[in-house]
Amino acid sequence: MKKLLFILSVLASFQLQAQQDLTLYNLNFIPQSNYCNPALLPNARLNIGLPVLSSIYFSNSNSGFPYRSLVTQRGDSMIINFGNVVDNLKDNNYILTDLQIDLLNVSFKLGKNFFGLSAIEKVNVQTTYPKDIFGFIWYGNGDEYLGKRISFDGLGIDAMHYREYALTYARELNEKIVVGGRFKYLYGMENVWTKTSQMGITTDATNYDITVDGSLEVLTSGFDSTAFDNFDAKNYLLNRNNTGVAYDLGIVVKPIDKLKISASFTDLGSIKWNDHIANFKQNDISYKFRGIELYDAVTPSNDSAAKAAIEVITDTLKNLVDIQESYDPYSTRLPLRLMAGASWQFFDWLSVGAVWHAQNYDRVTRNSVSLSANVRFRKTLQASVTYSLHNGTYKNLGFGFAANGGPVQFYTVMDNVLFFLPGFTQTYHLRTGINITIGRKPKDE
Amino acid sequence: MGVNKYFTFAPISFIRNTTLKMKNKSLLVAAVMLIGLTSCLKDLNKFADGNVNVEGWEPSVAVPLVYSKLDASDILASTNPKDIEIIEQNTGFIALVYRGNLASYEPNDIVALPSLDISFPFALTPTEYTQLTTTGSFQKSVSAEVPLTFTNSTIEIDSAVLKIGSLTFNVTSSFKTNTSITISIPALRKNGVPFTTTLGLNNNSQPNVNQTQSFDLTDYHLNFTSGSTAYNKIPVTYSINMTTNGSTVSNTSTIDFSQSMQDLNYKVIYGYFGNQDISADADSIQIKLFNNALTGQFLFSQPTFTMNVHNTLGFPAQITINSLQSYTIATGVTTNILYTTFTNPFTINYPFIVGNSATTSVVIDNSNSLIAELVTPTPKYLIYDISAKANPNGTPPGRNFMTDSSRFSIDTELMLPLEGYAGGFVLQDTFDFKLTDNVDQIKDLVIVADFKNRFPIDAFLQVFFTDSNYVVLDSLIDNPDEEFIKSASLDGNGRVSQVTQKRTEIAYSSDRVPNLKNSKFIIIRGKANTTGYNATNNSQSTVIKVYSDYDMEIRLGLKVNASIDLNTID
Repeated sequence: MKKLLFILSVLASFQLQAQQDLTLYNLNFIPQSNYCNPALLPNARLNIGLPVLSSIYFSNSNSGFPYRSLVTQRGDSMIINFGNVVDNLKDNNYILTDLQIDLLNVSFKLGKNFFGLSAIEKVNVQTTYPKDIFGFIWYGNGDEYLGKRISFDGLGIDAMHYREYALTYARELNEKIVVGGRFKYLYGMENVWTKTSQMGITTDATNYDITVDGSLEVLTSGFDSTAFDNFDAKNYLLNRNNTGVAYDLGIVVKPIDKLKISASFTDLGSIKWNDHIANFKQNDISYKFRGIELYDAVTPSNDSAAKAAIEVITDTLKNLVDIQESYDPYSTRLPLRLMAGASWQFFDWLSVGAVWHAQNYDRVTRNSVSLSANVRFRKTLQASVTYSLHNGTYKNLGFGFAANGGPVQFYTVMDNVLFFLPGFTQTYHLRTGINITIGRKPKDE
Repeated sequence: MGVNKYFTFAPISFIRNTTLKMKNKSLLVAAVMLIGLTSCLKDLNKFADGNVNVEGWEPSVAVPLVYSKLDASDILASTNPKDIEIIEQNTGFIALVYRGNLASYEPNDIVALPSLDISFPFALTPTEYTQLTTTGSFQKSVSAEVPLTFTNSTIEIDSAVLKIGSLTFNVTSSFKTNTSITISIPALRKNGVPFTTTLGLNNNSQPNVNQTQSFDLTDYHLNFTSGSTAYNKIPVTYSINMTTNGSTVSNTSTIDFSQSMQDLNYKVIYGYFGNQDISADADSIQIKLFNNALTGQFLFSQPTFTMNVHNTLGFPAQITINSLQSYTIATGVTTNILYTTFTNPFTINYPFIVGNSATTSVVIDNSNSLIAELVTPTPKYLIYDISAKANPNGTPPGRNFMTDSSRFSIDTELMLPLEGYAGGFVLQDTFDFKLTDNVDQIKDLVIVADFKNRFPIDAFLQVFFTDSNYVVLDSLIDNPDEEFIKSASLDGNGRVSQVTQKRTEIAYSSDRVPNLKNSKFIIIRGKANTTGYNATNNSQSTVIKVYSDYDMEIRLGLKVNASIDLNTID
């Protein structure tokens, strides 16, 4: 019991924020499960994804707090409870939003070889907000933060819209080992990268002097003033000069008959952004405001000492701010993901497993852990129930299923069904679609 | 009670303008919704209905309001930095200097050249008539003196160089002759050449003929000494030449002469300008240091009032101080300053060469006046009335002169070297006070005052909040008898050796905040004592001096603890 508590404590201490197909990992009826690990082969020999409809994926997670802890209702009023939120935030908190739509997905097995071809439209948005933004609003700078730096470090948005063209190859080396790899050609459309974001306010505890410091660098592609002039859809969709490559690699091992162990990394790569670049950089600022001149505070031209002080601060900061614009190409990495899993096949129709997922982006690694129970009913239905730790919360109950009616497959996977109870969860995840699957095996591999 | 400044104390305004500038609340709520991303439709409807509030929102906002480093000039001469001067360069010892200036006098105020006019008729005697009609021609010269006449008959002008002026001749002849008249003025010269001109009158048939000629006299030299009195006269010669042309000439015909020098202004003038009063004027100096003073003891050790007479007028003169008084604004009381033994009038220096100047200083100090009376700390003026007289002893050995740029001006200077002491010196000023709306959302506030003082002065402060009738509603400082600014330390030479810092936190509790809401004015009253002043028996043991390197760092900060209810914010 002590060991279990220890393990749970360790797991809870992870930055459990991102969430990527933890339930899908267990559902090999669904061809898109191969996205998690190129060595995870789908159950059917031939899989055809219906354009656009084969996979629509949306996920959102807020590492800071569930909505309902911030906003509650009382009678006809909406009550905002900063106090419920502020003290529980981490120094930096994230809102992650992913949207993916499969444009094309075809895969098939040929002997011990597996081939796949896919094209996926992807949008990733990461908004980072520091704890002190809420703290500053809630507490002000007068008590809690006197003598301390109110940190807005990290505040910013990283967003990427790109298309991924992928070729997958996997091979069953023997009965116990499958390896797979995927080559991805990346076509970028828009990007925002908050490369540097260091901002802070410090209030002196003795005299209330206010020191503002900071530096900021934001790189963008696709948002400059000419990006949408004479907009040409064909050029936009096919002819942008923002390209890159990425790789996935995976392995599945069955050391004994009932045990399956898998591991993979995906999205190891980057995009170089060349078109419609507009980069903004503000070098280090450090400004201490000590107050205005005594005579300025009491002369008739200033109707308020406080207002005069604000004007002085504003004017000075305006003079200090010198945002330099540049147009140099730059590269961004994709968020690298690592997944590892293990499952035990109790019966033909039942297995249990565990999956660990980690995503690394911008020097931050976010971890998720999931436990699953998976069932299948012959070739018709496969389902998985998962319990996951995300965002330091335990309210994450996942469910997914794939139902085959002849060659037509409909599936839906959610890493958190509490999605239907808005406000109590911090993560929302849905992947759903319709595939054509032919040549399904009657039994688990 | 004078109100001359406007001061708004607006902590809540600050909060609203910074963290809570959310009059429509939309930004705040939209941000929350965005973060949550799960806002349900019901929430959106409530937001649309405005039924939104932030519960338990009690922020505390701290801002630095004032940071100033004030030297003696900033404190004692804020309205005019020139009111402070270093009077000992090696030590930096300073003085308050208030200056005035009596009107300076133009030369034309003393001697103005009047017009020089002459007119007379010319007729032929019977003999001359016979000569004209018999020979057909006639010549004659006529001499005259044009007088320079002044109201003050003692003025004697020898010569002048004209800056501007004009000379006009008007001649009307009834002779039916060809007549020419040559006018010569040897005393009127330009570049050494005497003035001469000829007027021609050809009259064969007309009964009368008239001619007028004018001349610009700029840069002409006028010599008034060649006449019968050796001054104030200009001799003129008229040479008349007449020729008949066959017409009958009447023996009653005349030639009417008229000559005028007008609008004469000189560049330089010589002579004797008479025994005359040349100026009488009054002015005052405001002692600004005491503008807002109410009461107290104040002593400047060595105050002086100096009159500096700058003179480029070339003649002897005397000045008389008709009166020198202090005028207390509050009471209207005037007090004579000058001792009766003061030498009055006094002679001023004057230049002996054109272009030179001479200065005379008259110093009024504790030895010849009650000038110390001036510096009792109540708002007052120093009022003075001065007159001057030219050539008070009659004709001097040399002659007088003036140029058009010569001046006679009197500058006045009240110098108060900052050496002495002050005790119970109370200053007071009143400001409009307008507290922002939403004062109910202020829980309490704290004002932090931090002074680093290099002056040998202790100061006490109180701030009153009053209604529109100046009835005090509340006061800010609980213990106004505690030093708000603490005197710097002095060394054995009376020089400040160490800065003294005093930090005061003034808490204004929530139960008093409503008083602010009803306040229309704040009255700031400060009391100052120099180092060594004994408030118990109002005695002073130390005379202090103020130097240019003395200063005071003032820091004021404000912390407001608020309780925000969005529904009550406008």
